[in-house]
Amino acid sequence: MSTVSSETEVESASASEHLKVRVYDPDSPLRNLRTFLADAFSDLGQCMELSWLLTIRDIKGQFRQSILGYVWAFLPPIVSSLTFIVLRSTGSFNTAEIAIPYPAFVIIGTLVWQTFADAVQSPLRAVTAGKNILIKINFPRESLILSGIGMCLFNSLIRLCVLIPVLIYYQIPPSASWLWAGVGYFGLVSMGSCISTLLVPLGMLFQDVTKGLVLIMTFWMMLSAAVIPLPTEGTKAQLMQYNPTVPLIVTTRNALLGLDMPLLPQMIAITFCSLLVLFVGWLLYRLALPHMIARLGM
Amino acid sequence: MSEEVLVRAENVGKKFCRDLKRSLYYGVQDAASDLFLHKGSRSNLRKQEFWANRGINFELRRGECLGLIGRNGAGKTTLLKMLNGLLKPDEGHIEMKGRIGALIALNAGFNPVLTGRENIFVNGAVLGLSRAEIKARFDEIVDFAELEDFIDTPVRAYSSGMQVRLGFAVASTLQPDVLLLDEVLAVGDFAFRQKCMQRVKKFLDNDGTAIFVSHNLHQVQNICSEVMYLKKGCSLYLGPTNEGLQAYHNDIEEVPAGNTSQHSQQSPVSQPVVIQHLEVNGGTSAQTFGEITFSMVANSQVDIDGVAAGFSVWTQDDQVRLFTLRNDFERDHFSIKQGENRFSATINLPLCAGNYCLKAMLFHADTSNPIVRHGFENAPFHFTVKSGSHDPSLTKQSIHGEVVAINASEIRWDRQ
Repeated sequence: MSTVSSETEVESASASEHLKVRVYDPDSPLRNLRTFLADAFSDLGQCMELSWLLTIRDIKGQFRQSILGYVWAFLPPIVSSLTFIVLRSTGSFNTAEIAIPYPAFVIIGTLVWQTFADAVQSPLRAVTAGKNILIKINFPRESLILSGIGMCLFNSLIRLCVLIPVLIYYQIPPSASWLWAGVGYFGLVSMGSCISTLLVPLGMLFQDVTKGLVLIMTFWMMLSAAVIPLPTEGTKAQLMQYNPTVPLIVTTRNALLGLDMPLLPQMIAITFCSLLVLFVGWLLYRLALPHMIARLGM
Repeated sequence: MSEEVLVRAENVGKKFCRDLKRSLYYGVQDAASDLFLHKGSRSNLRKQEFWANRGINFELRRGECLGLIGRNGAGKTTLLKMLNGLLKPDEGHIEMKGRIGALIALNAGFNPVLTGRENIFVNGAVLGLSRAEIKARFDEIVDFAELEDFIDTPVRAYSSGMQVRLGFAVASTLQPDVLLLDEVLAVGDFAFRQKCMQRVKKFLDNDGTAIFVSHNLHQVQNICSEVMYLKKGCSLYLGPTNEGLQAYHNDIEEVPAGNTSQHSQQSPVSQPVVIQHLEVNGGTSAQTFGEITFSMVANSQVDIDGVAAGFSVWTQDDQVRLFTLRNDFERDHFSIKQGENRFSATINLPLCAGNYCLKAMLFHADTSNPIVRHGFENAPFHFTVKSGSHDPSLTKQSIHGEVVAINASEIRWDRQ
């Protein structure tokens, strides 16, 4: 069970029973950091089964009322890839020369990007959708975030099924560097989830967050080397230099294609930082939640 | 009853804000202050804020059941949410010992497109049951909810009553030390409500501790050992149930007792006999455990012989008949004369404090065919029972116990 405040195991007066005591008061739980962390980890341990069930529930539920079903998991990135392929073939927009065929480049790019975009939205969406139980039932609330991440992982696995025929069609041989692509995927999910988790407390209160996120994501995609190769000079190159998704996307794609991975160290560093921020975001979520619930209605 | 205190609330207070935008902003402010190691009460009221709860103190031991009563918006649910750890108090201190089970929002965790079977597992897990525990009790849950035929149907095809039944069946398989109940026994059909009530009673009989929010005062009286009467967030009364209900009744301005419109609702033209007027002790109220006289005044255009009279007392909501008094035909052979007729019945009635409905009827003693009925098709007469001095041993009795007592008491009929 998760709590607003500190939780301690206390031996109860009657000899045979060990009843857990929960204390709720106005003090910040951070004042007793040890208990706060102990509670957080104990909840995390306890909520794994629940998170799994919630993920399964959402996966089963998401396409039950549709005919195409799981096709919807990969249709949007395919269609946006096609858009870019068509635009490029008609000469509406140009890219620098690429070592591999552009369709392979852009399909892999959008699929990889979609994983990140999903990871940014999925936990936030899961928590917002879970508002009803959040304000009424006391349960380990991290399970909502975890189910959001689980959902995103599942959908990117489906997208991998599209990736495989693309790789076969363009005769890209399997290689050991695919392992780095796995790390890249993990990094993208971590980074997306950490952003999402940080946004959850505000996103629960203000709709501006979800609405704004949609706008930002479109713009962000254009600056992420998902559909165009990394420019080497110009303002765009300078902007992209500071974009943390660039090393993740570029390296993941290059790893899949068996190309050089000049941004590998950055990718590892960013993945590591994302995990750290995800951890902090999780603690902030726990800290803020009782105050958010109080404002969400009865 | 053990002396172990499971729930302790000391001077608990919670503020809310009337304005939405401001409220959201305060939420961010409070969360931020926690980040900077906030300590102590948040006692100052910011603009547009009010106390939803303040100065709440109580202790609950094993085996006790506290009823929270009060009008809508009195702060009952807020208090329950703080006890459940959903809201953080702005003042005071709450200690909860043991596993907490909450029967609140029974269908909150349901995904409408999934089947009842799938939802049982998810909902159970949200409430803290492991998969193995749910598996072990799956049949029991379905059986209790009486949904065998629909268990593989999506939950959105369920009626709201069916959803609540499923939710209650899942949530009540928890075996908590402290049970929080918020209005959940007010839903579902009558038979199911009875079943739920029995389950809650069984839990209490097994030394369970519960906090019960309800507007059904008969239920409160039935299961609570003490009540807290909340008004505008403050506790006006805390103590034994009957006195608490009394305090509540005395305080609120209920639907005015009596029924002013009764005269107009009877159509005097078409019926030869009309019940014009009902009375309780010559007015609209009686005292608990005292004598109570129900009277009716019937106006007749004809003479009728071989008449029987009856009064029946119903719960305030006009839903449940508590008992009926009718005269002994052999002993009291009544007749109706042209003009005004008055029938009254006096009993020693240990009715609990509260509001009730009174209905009356006159019928042919031999055929039992009604001559005239009052309060069935038209609005019944409302009366109040106030708690007076009484034998304290009787106060513990439930309404059911008292109905038995009524059956045993002697009824004196009069015909004037």
